[in-house]
Amino acid sequence: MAYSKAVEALLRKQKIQPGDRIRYSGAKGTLEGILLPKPETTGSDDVLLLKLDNGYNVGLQASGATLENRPGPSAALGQVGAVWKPSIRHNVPKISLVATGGTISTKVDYKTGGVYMLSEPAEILAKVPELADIADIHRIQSPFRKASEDMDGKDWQTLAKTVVDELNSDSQGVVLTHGTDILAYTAAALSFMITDLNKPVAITGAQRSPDRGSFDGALNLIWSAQYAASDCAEVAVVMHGSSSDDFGLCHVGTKCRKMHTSRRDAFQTINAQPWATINGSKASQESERKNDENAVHFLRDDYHRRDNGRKAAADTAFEPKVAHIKPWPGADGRIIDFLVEQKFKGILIEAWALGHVPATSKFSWVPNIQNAIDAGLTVCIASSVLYGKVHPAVYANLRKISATGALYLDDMLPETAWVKLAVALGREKKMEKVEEFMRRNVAHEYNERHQQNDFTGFDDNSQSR
Amino acid sequence: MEKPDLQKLGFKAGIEIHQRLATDEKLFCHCPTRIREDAYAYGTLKRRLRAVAGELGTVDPAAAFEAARRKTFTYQLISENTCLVEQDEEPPRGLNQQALRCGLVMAKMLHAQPMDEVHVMRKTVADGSATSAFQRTALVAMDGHVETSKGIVTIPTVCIEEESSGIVTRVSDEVTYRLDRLGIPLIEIATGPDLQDGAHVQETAEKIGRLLRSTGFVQRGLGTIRQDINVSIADGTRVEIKGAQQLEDLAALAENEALRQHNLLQIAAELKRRGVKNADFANPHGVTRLAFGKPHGVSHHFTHAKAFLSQPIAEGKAVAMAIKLLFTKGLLGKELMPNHRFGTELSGYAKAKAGIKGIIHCDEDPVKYGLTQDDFNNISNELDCIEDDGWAVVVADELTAVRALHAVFDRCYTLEIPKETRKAEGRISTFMRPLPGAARMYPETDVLPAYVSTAEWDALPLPKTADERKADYEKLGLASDMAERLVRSNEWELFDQLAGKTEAKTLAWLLLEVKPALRRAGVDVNQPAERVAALLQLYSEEKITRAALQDLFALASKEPQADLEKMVHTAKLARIRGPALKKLADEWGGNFGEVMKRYRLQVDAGELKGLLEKKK
Repeated sequence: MAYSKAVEALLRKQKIQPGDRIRYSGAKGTLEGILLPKPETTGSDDVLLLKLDNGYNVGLQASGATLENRPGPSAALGQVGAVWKPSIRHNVPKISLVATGGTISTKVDYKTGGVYMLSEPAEILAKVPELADIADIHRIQSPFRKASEDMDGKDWQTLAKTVVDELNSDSQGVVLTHGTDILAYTAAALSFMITDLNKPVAITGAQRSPDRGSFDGALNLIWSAQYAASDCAEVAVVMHGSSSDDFGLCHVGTKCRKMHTSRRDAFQTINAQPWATINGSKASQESERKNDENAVHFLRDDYHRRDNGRKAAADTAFEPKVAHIKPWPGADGRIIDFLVEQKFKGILIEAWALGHVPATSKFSWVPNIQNAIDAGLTVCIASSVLYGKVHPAVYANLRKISATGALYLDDMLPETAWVKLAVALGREKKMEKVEEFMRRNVAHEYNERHQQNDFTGFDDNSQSR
Repeated sequence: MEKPDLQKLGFKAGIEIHQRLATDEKLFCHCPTRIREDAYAYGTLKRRLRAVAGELGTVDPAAAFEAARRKTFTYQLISENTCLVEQDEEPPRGLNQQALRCGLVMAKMLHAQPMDEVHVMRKTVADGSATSAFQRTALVAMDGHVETSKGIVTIPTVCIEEESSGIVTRVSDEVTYRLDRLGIPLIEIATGPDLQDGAHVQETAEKIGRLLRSTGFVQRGLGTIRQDINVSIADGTRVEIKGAQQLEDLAALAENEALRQHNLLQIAAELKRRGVKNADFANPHGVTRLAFGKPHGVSHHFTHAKAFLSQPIAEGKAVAMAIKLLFTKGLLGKELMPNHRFGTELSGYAKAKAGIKGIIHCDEDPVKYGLTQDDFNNISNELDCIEDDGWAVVVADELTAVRALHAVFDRCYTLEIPKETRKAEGRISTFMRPLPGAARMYPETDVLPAYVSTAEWDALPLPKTADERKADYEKLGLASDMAERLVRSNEWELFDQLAGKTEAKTLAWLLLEVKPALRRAGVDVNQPAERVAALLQLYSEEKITRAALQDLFALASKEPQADLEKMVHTAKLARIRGPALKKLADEWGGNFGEVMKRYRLQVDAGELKGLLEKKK
């Protein structure tokens, strides 16, 4: 509770606790309602928060007021909703759910407005009961509950192992719920860490909270379950394809990025086409509630096919001492020297456009990069422009930078490149081996042939953005 | 129909007034609040809304009801007035301070107490009118009052809230909204249940409306103010009637609702007398419905009915389904309020819950449907109706028909008056949805509360008094008697709006002399302020003379849609000035009287005089 000491003393004196029904008499007259705890950072801590019988919350200055306890049930605060008990269904695909955290697994205490992580992952399903019509969520695992901004490499190691366990169960596929901030990093990490992927892995989240009727996570979950039942043995990010509730997109795990802070269709595939649309074409709309093979409409053919007989495995080696930096105009290259001193093993530089950092001015980074590589670090270069490729030779400055031995990573997204470098350095000790791994197209992170519509959107003539 | 004594019925009514505020920006984003009905929609969104559990883990009945209809909503995007906030694609910005201040000023005028901290809430709405599925609302002040001819009327709450989106089309279950209206600040003023009769309802609404307008910060025009009425009688229940737009309908609306409740209670008493024990009679899972309430196919009785019924049946698109309504004969045709029978009431439920056009019942005139009394008797016989048993028929596809008939059945045997929200349709109302429960409000976590200090409250200036306003008009150049007349007239609001646009004397003359004269002559002179402003602009740009202004005002009133500039030319009202006037004067040998006689409306006497004097 975030009330001031004075207010707390006043409440103690009257034996009043949040959740109690009280009567306030003071400058604003006499009012009755339920005393609420004051959420931190919400208004003044000297002001009582009262829920009136008409449903409104109002703030009343505590000083000078007389408070008294009133008869009436005190409200149970912080408790929301019952847990849905999934009913056994036949003839729908069995799917595993791995729940982490994020908006999709929050709940609101409708009284206080406090936002909490769900106490049981099954509560997510309670919010989307129609999921039961299309999938049997027969296994639920929640290795940890964290907002995605608090996650790190260790969490990916845990997740990779958990997902592999589920892939090797009798489930048709896995749905992973996640906070959206670093969701795309996790998609890349699982793409690299899970080897011999045998079944679909859908990662999804929500951009609107589940307390509201416009919760986007409901459709995201439904679409994810449909993807998880499909033939596509790839890690995909499954989210809204447009601002409407009309179709979902299954983005390539290594080529996908959050491109808007708040829109439903924030996630986009960059420099490539998504794997598939869901519910996008007429045929799949009709099969939406049936979850048959028409639900997922593929835009590409180069995905690995499901192979339920194969066992998936996880190689979760991960080197945490990898930095992700980007230059700013006039930036001092000694930031790289600092990373060398701090015993970093690799650096991903998110460079300008075709791969530039300051290269001839007095701020040139070239000597610092050279110093890092000579010290045994692997330095990689991806573009902050995101769309298009880097190139080691177009300009003299690019040739100078690449001459240091820094690796130009073509069209790989900077975040994907950073994850891949950490995985590479975790697995390989020799620089040549690290380089070889970085150059290899492990999980569709490279697209060698960029075509017209790889810039502005995905290619599906039946859709318009 | 005889009018019962409201006092004896225990009539109680209160009103909620929703008035759009003329702030620069919307309540939670930077979009402007002025909307144009004809603004182009550059795109659309489609959304499905879900029912969510309320704060006690329960789903709000109103929300569940709308969700049960499984609707997809379409939203039109209007570039001038919508951004990602209206689209529910971006969190709200902070509470608009101008709107909060408007709320506080109004609260002060109503002698209410402001809250120390104003907290924004989310009120669940599932009809699709808000993309987020909730309306943001904040309680600003409490415990005010307003004086009326029948005593003090309490004002328990003054709130600031978001306007909803406006419906463009509703085709069965497909609703299209425009997003431009969503998020415009509204002030909501609720009275206590203190209103004693229809006239009192109307007087109070007028009084609060006048107070609102005197603040100068409210929007004007059609749809910018709405009244909801809450009515109950002693043995009845609180029913909310939404969306009354005409002040003159309020009195009848309120009294008709009391009448409806009174008559419903009489029907309930009669049903009980005939043998309906309790509401369990209609328990949808109970034995009773299975026994009596099973819908029955009666298409064969409709083969020779009017085409709108027989044709869909013949084409296999619809069936006629009947349900037996035990003990209801003679009651279905009983009038609840003018032109609204018990059958109409049941039909309203069926329409709302199943989206059908209407029901047919045994107390109607069969001729309406191209049928005979024999046909009706045959239906009764087929359903094994005896004595006072009645029935209802729905013609639709089977699933819809069954859904509609179950709605009819359930409503028919609800012996108490359901708590519901009704829609005003002129002077009567129809069922809209169940009254929302208390579970529909929870905190808006994305918006910080606003602190209202005592100093800020004390310093809030109240709108000017009549005397202050008169002094202002005199400063603008009006003679004392003219200023006095203006203050007392209904024209001062329009005058204030247009005062900067032209000289005060001409404006006052137009509003206080020309307008009343035209009104007396039977012309509808209520033109929107924008059009009057455009008229005055023609005058101040010297495109017409003052004499022509009067004629043009009359013409423009008669043809409210016509283009003003075109009108000037077709009516030959364009002012002749400068060289053209000089030429004209020469043609008439410089004869002032002749020119003015022929071109009174087109020539400014002053200009002509000056011209002629210069020549001499």
